[in-house]
This record gives sequence, structure tokens and C-alpha cells, in this order.
Amino acid sequence: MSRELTYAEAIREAIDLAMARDERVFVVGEDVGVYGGAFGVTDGLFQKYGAERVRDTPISEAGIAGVATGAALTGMRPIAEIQFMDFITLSMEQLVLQAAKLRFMLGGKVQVPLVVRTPAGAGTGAAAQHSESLENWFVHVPGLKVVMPSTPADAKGLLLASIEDPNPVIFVEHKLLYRTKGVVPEGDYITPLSQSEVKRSGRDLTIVATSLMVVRALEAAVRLAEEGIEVEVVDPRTLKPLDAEPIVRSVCKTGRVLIVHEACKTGGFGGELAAVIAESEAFDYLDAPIRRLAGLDIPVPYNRELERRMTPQVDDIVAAARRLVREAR
Amino acid sequence: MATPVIMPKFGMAQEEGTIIRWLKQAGERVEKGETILEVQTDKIDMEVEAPASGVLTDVRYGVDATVPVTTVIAMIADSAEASPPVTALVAPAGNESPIAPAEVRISPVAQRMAAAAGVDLTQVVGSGPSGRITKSDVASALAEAKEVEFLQGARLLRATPAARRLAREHNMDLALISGSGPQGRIQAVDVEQGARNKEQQAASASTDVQPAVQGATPTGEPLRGKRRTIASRLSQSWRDAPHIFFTTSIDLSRVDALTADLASEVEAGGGRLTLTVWIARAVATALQRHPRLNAWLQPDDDQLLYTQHSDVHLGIAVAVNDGLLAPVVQHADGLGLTALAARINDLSARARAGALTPDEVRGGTFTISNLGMYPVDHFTAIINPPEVAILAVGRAQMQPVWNGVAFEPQRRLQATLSADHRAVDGATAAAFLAEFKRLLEEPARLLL
Repeated sequence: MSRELTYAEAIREAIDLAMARDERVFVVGEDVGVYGGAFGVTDGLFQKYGAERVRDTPISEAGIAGVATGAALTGMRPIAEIQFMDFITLSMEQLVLQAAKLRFMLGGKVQVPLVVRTPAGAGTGAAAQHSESLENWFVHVPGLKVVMPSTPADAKGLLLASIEDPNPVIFVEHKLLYRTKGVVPEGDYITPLSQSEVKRSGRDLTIVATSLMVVRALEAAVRLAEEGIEVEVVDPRTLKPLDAEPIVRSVCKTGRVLIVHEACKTGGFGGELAAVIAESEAFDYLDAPIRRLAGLDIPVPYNRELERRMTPQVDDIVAAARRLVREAR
Repeated sequence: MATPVIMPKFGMAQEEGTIIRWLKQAGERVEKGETILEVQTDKIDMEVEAPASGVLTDVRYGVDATVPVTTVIAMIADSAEASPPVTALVAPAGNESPIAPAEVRISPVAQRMAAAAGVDLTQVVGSGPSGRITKSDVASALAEAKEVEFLQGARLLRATPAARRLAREHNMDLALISGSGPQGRIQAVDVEQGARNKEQQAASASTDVQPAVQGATPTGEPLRGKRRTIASRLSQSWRDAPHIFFTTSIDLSRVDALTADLASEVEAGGGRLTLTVWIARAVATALQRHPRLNAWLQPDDDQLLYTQHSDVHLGIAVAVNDGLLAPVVQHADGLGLTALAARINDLSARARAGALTPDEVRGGTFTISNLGMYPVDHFTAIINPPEVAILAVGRAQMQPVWNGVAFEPQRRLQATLSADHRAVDGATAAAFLAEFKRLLEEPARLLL
């Protein structure tokens, strides 16, 4: 049986399932308990599992990451929440120097089965310190996995997979996705990490998009189809370790690729994707330059109109896709 | 996986090779080690073997193409991925003649600039009042010309990777395809269109009626490869070097007697003590005493450079199926009869088998051509440039010779020296020939 859930509900269901079957699993973060989380994701879990397993913390992102790392080392399965991805900057030392490396530095004698859930992204009018998308910082760190689901069903399955994974996983959610709805299978299931998925098939152009941009790319694809442009949308879902094969296969088929992400273009994940494609056998099938559509290289503006302009919108994707296909015809 | 077939480097100094013929055509199956084409270097034809088994594709050069060594000349594809064979390249579209401008208005500055830079003003579109060509029009025409020059010079073409791949697969030259993308970028669709056009052209060409044969239409086949090289070298030599000829008759009685004594010993060394061996030995020795003939004469701009060699590298002309080769016995002056016989035996056998390397046919300082196996009493040979002399040897035959009392039978041969009069005077040539004759008539001297 499956039914529609929101992205936030799907994540909550995954946490609930994991906590119910494994008492090593616990939640730690700011306002995750009584308040139910800044975006309501952990709503009801405090009441169900109690203060011992759903732990509120002070405003102390370094501490949250440190507690989670330490707990994971002792065999627990912490799910830490960093309320806004912007403040993960304060957790960097614990995540990058400790969590990511201890398993390697101790010769595999310990594991760090830790999940950091954190909402990224602009679009809420929360300005430059509550709107960033910093996923690529972690993509650059060996020892960390980076997951970025775009649908409720993926969010549930990928979170369950992340909790089971013996390595630290940075699980990047999107504020604007929390209320999006989608069919979510009931019960316990896993969406394996490192499995890119073709979300829509098409022959004219490949769009590789992450997180919220997958939703926007799919919307753009519907509009482009009315013009006779058939877009294939591929969602990597796990940024690292990346499953490049479906992306490469898609580009071989269409010969054109548009990469869309919300994070700033310079140094963003799109550069990595472009390089992976250019280095692959897809190179010989490219019939147009690889193009990126990404956030502007500026701090996210507070002004709502400027904020909208700063991040790729459906119209922008349609226009970029149209240009790429037209110029290659 | 496709394996490239490259223009091989057979000799140390070889820089390029010319394709004489393809024994396999694009699309044909080839086995590793099988001969797929013949290539000619300076003097010699070599066979090129398939480096892998598969299907020959992407044949990039045709007969008579001269290609630098190590250049990829074709590919051998696994059967599965073999692309269909494609033969001719698309011909470039003929340029339409530009429409002559009625009256071109040009600003004085533009005129001066154009004259200085050699810009063709009929090709420039004026942007000034009434279409006047201004300074900036000439400047942009110049910039465009430079851009075009740069692109052509660097062999750079705007083409997508997919277009390049398709062009490779269809064996098409991207330079002949016009691009429909931004800034004329060639895209997959352009190559596909080009390939279709080519197919159509090929189809219509095959249905064309052959034109009636004109009275004066020349027939025959052009000389190719080694034959063409022989032709051009010999004409050059005959045209440039004033040949002078000297013939002498030589008594072989003592050579024959010594041959009977030494033959079995020489044979133990791997060769046969033929007349050619004796002649080579005598020539090498005579050249040491008359080194003026052991030399090269080479044009250098408007000068002629004469180089005398201290070592004798003796070319021995050998008739092969489709021409003539002169493998070189290096340092022939240092070899005794046994070593010389073995070396000549080896070189001529491999010459007939086509197994000489280019290094073995170059560097000669003097050549011997022996037609003694034919009923040719004597003949003259054309000098093998840059050498300055060649010795032509006719057959040995019994002749009656007056010894002052009676005629006695003697086995004799006639040898004719051709010398390049620019480098060698008659007296020098005659002295050499006299020395040669004396050495063969008193061959014990050759054993010293």
C-alpha cells in the first residue's frame, strides 16, 4: 500500500521506523524535541520516544556534531539535526576532521555511523545566513557521504539507508521541499545510496539536477515537451559517492546536457558533474557544450525578488534548455 | 576497441613514407600479421602488416599519399563496431564568383589601410553612409581574415565532439563540412547531412554514362611507388650528370683458376665465389687506389658539393621482379673474398625476397651492375646519384685471342665504366679501369 506523504512526513516516518526497530537510534538537535523541529520534521517523536532519545540541545552546532560523532564511535546511531545548513559551518571541525577520518586513522577499528540531517536552500526570505546550499563542501571531503533527496519517497528510503550506513552521511534536505507531496511506500524499505535515477526519459537533452531543482526541472520538462523538446531528467540523489553511469548513459543518448543546482555556480557540484561527463565516453557524444545553470555567485539576498532571481527558477530552466537544444539543431 | 595502423618507420633516417597500394580495402576483414598495404620509403618498398585482427576502417590516405612516419593511416576495428566502408571524400563546393560591386565608396583612411594590409576591398561590406567602406570595416575585415588564417593555420575547426566522432566514423573531412551551429560550429546533424549527400553523389555517379572515348585521350597507367622513384632518379642523373664511358676487356683465366682452388673454402663461409664477388673485390681495391671515383657529388643551392669517401660502400645492383635494387655492402674494402661472398649472397637473396631495410639500400659510394647472366656482351649504365661512377659488367665468354703465335681460347668479359665528367676526368677514370683490369687478370694481388 502506498499513499501520499509530504517530504517532511516521509522523513519523520523514516526516523520513526528506525527508532522503533533499533534502540541505538536517537535524535539530537536544536528544537527537535518538544517543539518538533524548526520545520516540524520531528513532530511527535519526543512524545513517542521521550527526552532520552529525542534530545534538545542549546544553540551549539559544534557540540551537536561532537556529541553525535562521539555517540557513533561508541556504537550508537545518532541522527543529528543542524537547523539551517548555514550553521553547519560551526560543525565543520567535528565532521571534517573527526567523523570523516577516524575510521581511516584507526585502521578500520571504529565506525562512525552518523547522520546529519540539515535543511538547505533559499526561497523562504530568510536572507544570507539561513539560505545557503553548502553540499559541495562535504563532497570534497573523503570519508563523508552526501545525500540530497528530491522526493518524499526518496527521502524516506535514502534516510533509512543513511541510518544503516556505517559511515557519516550528510543528509541535505530542502526547506521548499518539506511541504511537497508524493507517493511514499509504507513500511521499511531502503533506497540504496549511490544510485542515480532517471526521473523522466527524453531524447533531446539531459538535465542533471539535484534536490529542489529536480522538481523544477521536471516542471520545465512538461513545458518543454509542449514545444516538442523531450528532456531527460537525471537525479544523482547521492552526490558522493556518485553513481555516474546513468548520467553518462543519458548524455550519450541525448548529446546535450544541462546541469542545474541551487548552490552558487563557482565551485559547485555542477563543475564536478561536468568534469565527470567530459572525462567519460559521453565526451564523443556531446553535440553542444556542457552547460550549468546554478545559483549566482552572491550571498542570498533578503529581498524576495532578488532572492528569486538568484536561484534557478522553472522559467530559467526552460530558457536554458531551449537555448541548448536550439543551438544544437 | 579499434587499433590504429600507422605509417611505420623502417629506417633510422626515415621521416615519411608513400602508400603504393592497399592490399585490403576499408570494410575488409584482416588478420593480425597479414599484409594490408605496401609502402615505399626513399628507395625501397615495404609491406605493412595488420597490427591486429578485425575490420579495416577509416582508411585516411589513398595511393600515392606521402605521410610522415607514425601518422595513423587507418584503423582496425573489432568486427562489432566496424563502420561501413566509405571511399571518396566529399568534394568542396565550388566557389561562386562574387558579384562585382557597382561602385565602391571608400574613405581615404580605409583605402590606405586596405592597401597596406592587402585587404581585398571587393569583399568588404561598407557600414558608412551610402555603404561607404570605413576604417572600422577594414579593421574588422582584417580581424576576420586573421581569425580565418588562425583557424586554418592551426587546423582548428569549431566542431562538437559528437560531430568529430561521426566524421571519423564516416571517414569525412570536417574541413569540407559547413557548420550550422553558433559561430559556424559543426554539429552532428551537419556531418550526418554531409554523409547523406555523399551517399547520394555516389549513387548518382554510378548511374552516369561514361563519356565517349576521345581520339587523343591518353591511356595507360601512371608509374607508382618504386617505379616512379626509379624513373625520376634516372632522368635526373641522365639530365644532370654528363656521362663518359670507358670499356675494357678482361682475361678471366687466372680468376677461373683461382676460383676452382678457393670455391669450396668460400662456400664454407656461406657465400659463393661468383664473378660478381671477384669484381666487387677488385673494384673495392681499385677504388682505394683511385678514391676520386669513390665519391658523391651533390647539389647544394647553386653549388655542387664533392665528397670523397675513405671507406668503400659498394652497391650491387640486383634485378627484382618489378624493378632494380642496389643493396649496399658496407665497408667492402675491408672484406676478404669469403666475407664478401657471404654478404653479397645474403643481400641479393633478401633483395629478391623484398626483405631489405631502407638502411641497407642507402649510403653506397660506388655501384656495380652485372648483367653477365644474359647474352649481353657489354652495356652502359646510368650513374646512381649522388655517386660519381658505376661499373657495368657484361657476360664472360670464350674468345679467340692472338698470343703472337696462334689464336688461343680465353674466357673474357667486358666492363664499362660510366663516370660523371663533372667530378671525374677521363684520365682518372681510365687509370681506375686499368687498375681494375690488372687486379682481375692477376687476381693473386687481391689476396694480399
